[in-house]
Amino acid sequence: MSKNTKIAKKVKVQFLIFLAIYITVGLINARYLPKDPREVIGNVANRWIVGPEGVWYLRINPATVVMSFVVIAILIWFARLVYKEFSLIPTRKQAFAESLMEFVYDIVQSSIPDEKYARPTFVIAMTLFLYIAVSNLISGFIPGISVEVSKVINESGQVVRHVKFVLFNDTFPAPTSDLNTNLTYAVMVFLISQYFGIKAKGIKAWLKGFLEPIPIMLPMNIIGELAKPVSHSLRLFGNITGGGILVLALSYFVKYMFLPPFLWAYFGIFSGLIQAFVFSTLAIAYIASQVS
Amino acid sequence: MDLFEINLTAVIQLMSFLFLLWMLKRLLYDPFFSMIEKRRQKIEGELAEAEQIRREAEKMRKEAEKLLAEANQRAQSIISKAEAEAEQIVESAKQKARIEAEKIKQEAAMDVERQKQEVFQQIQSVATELAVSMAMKILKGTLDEKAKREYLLKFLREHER
Repeated sequence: MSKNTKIAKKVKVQFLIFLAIYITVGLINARYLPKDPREVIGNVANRWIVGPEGVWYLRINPATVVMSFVVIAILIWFARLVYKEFSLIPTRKQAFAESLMEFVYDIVQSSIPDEKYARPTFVIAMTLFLYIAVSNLISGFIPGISVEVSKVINESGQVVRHVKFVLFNDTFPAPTSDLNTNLTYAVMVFLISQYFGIKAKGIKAWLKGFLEPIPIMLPMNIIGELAKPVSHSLRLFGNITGGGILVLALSYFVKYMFLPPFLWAYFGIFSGLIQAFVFSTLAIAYIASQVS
Repeated sequence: MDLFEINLTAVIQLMSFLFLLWMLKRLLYDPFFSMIEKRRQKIEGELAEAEQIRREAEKMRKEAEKLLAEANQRAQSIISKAEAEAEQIVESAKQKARIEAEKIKQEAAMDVERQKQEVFQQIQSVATELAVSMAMKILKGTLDEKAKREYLLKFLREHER
């Protein structure tokens, strides 16, 4: 009991220190705000991309990569904490992890009764949920270092990006607001669902599934299947990117004062967690529709 | 269009995701499933144990009931036996008392008889004496002194016998 109150006190002190720094930095930031809203709003669609123009395999989004590494590190750190004290009688951390996993596993089991496919589906859906939830929380809720990119076309017609790092004007850049991340995961889920479909039904029945209910529906069915990863990835991408842009625009109009934390809380906690849940549930649903 | 550009990041994201999946599987999911399995086994074992204990208790209860019934029966038999014995004892005591009484009665009767006899003898002797004295009174004068003495001596001798 005394230990708990001690920790709570420590957390309170840390939070107060953070608030003080946040307000100070916010006041300093407000002095350097661009006068023209177009300068901010016009840059929201820009991304920090490094590499030669037109060569996709040499171009990289450093913000996305670094943030996803941070998210992965946090998740592995938490998993290690839980793993170290895994026991039959759960501790608080373990109970939290277990209830989370049970929650997802129940959803998986209710849609995929076959244990052979439920396990790998659970592993994929759970990892997706954790990754997206943590990345949405960190980059949607916690004020941190954000990247402002302005594009200038120079004399030789090349695009030059001016990168500016800003503290506490916005949250961390979200890996999930980058289509590279979302499309990769959506395509991965799509391929896995097709693979499970072939494995569960056999290749003949799987191919026959495209001719149902009548053979003339073949193109519709193919389009329907291909639309899945597109809608899957764009849903998350649109929500997170749109939320980010909306917050940025609104924050500019209130000069980054007072309102942003509430908007971040909404877009980070509500929207972010719901989108993580939706993404993993859809992954389960797509795999289930192929397996059954 | 920066927002929709697909580049090397996708590959990196896939790799890092697979790494995360592998790590979490090792650190979270496998222990989770094994823990669930272990808990299921433990609960199953405990339930089986409880069932066994319950069955044993049932058996013991039945045994105890049987023993109790047996004990009851035995007590009943002992009581009835004791009752019979008591009755017998009473009966025998009564018999004995009756015999004793009979004996006492007989003895008393014999006593009475004997006393009667004695009294009778005493009466006889007294009567004899009276008769003698009466006879002497009647015979007084008719007999001389000598004869008197002789007769008396004879009489005394007879009586001494």
